[in-house]
Amino acid sequence: MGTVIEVNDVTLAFTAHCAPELDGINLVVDEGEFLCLVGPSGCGKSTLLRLIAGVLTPDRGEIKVFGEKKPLNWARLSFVPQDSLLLPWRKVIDNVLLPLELNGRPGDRGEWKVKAQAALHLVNLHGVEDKYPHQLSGGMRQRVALARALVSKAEILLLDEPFAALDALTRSQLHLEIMGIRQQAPFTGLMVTHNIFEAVFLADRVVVMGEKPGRILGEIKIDLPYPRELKLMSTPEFAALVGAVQDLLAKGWCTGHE
Amino acid sequence: MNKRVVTSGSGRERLIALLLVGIVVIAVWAWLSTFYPDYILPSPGAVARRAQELFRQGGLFTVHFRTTLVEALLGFLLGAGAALPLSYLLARHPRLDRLVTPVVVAIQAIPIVALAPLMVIWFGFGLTSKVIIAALTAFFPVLTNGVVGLRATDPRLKEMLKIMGAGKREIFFKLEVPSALPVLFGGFRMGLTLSVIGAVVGEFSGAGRGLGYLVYFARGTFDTALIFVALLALAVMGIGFYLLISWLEAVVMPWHKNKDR
Repeated sequence: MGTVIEVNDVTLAFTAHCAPELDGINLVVDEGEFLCLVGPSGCGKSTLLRLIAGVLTPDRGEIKVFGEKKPLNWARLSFVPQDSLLLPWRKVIDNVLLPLELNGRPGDRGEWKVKAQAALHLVNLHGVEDKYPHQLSGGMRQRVALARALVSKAEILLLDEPFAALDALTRSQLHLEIMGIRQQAPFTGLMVTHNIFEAVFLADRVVVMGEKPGRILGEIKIDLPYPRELKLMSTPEFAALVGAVQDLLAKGWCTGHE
Repeated sequence: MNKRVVTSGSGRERLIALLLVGIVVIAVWAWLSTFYPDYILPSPGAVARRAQELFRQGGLFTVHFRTTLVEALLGFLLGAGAALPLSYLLARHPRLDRLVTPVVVAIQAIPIVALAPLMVIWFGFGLTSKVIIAALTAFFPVLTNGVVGLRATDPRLKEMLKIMGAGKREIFFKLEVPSALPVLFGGFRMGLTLSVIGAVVGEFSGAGRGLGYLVYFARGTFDTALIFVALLALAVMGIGFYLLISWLEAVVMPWHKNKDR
């Protein structure tokens, strides 16, 4: 398994007089891996995701995705934002096929629709193609955002707190679905979250970040077997891993006040 | 006049409510008019007779209503047509905005009533001067709303589209324009209403026909019933424009209409 994302000593400061947003970040994501970035809000984990997506450039250091420094297109790297960010004037189906429309030739619309339909099925959405985003619940909108990310079968999925705004039950449901999708259509995932349970449940590896400046405190390998079920969360192994992540986070708070 | 609103209304309740309001207004008006002579407050009947008279002469709708309608519509199209490209430029180039906006504010500060006589001197008593006055009044709300609308794009959506691979052109047509539409339509609604005011003001300053001219002419002869006829006709036009914009909104932005419900 090769390396897919490589972050080398990346530093970024939005303003000169504050502590840098990100300070000397090193991170490697392997092919097929699902990695969760955990940290307090304001530790720059979302910023790191935007750097990898190519909408920000680091002040120092470099980021390579598939060994390339320039931003990749949606077909290779796609993005699921926190609050779905769908276009309100487009029906669900037209939102999902938007990445294809932006990167394809006009006239392929029929083909796009078929692909968008397939992506919607993958995230368990049926019969909502012709609805507008505001007619859907938060969980459904987030599923649409997920379908949009999956529509061009990208090799890398960046997920920026995709489930943060959802209720606990919907969130658990989506956790199971995202693992199901990984089995059906494998991808490399990098997800930002501040929910430790979510991170441990979903990830192969959890990387813990601290704030002011944003930096990596350490990582925990999650050796729990697949397929994972919700009851896994009540096992001692799961609790031990959550505890380990919490210890790392606490270490960040102590060193942050020195 | 009430009937026109009613036919556009959706739902039985709204229709009945409108009818009731109409009946009450006319009843109160009829009652009040018994206290005053006709040249102060003509009765609904007197106004209806005056309208019928004018209608029979063939002047009300074919000449006066049409004249004002054409002036207002052409003025709106000219004003909005000039405002839209400028609003795009101003929204796109903040530096140009800083240069142009003071000038725009200064021109806007001149009351159109004060500007109208000048336009009549320059462009004559006919259609041209009225269209230009109406265009000037419609221009500013469309411009302002255009700039505000085009700038109101959600930066997170913009970033999202960039990640999806959208270029500048695609961001403009697929994001900035659609997200500006609700605000832009607010500007159209205001501009169209104002263009009627502009046309009427233009007719006050010198004209041979139009609903504004009717008011002006009737004032001179104390023909108060005729003033009421012209005012009602203007109200009908205003309602018509309102419905037109609402219909266009529903056609162009179906997602927005659904949102309100």
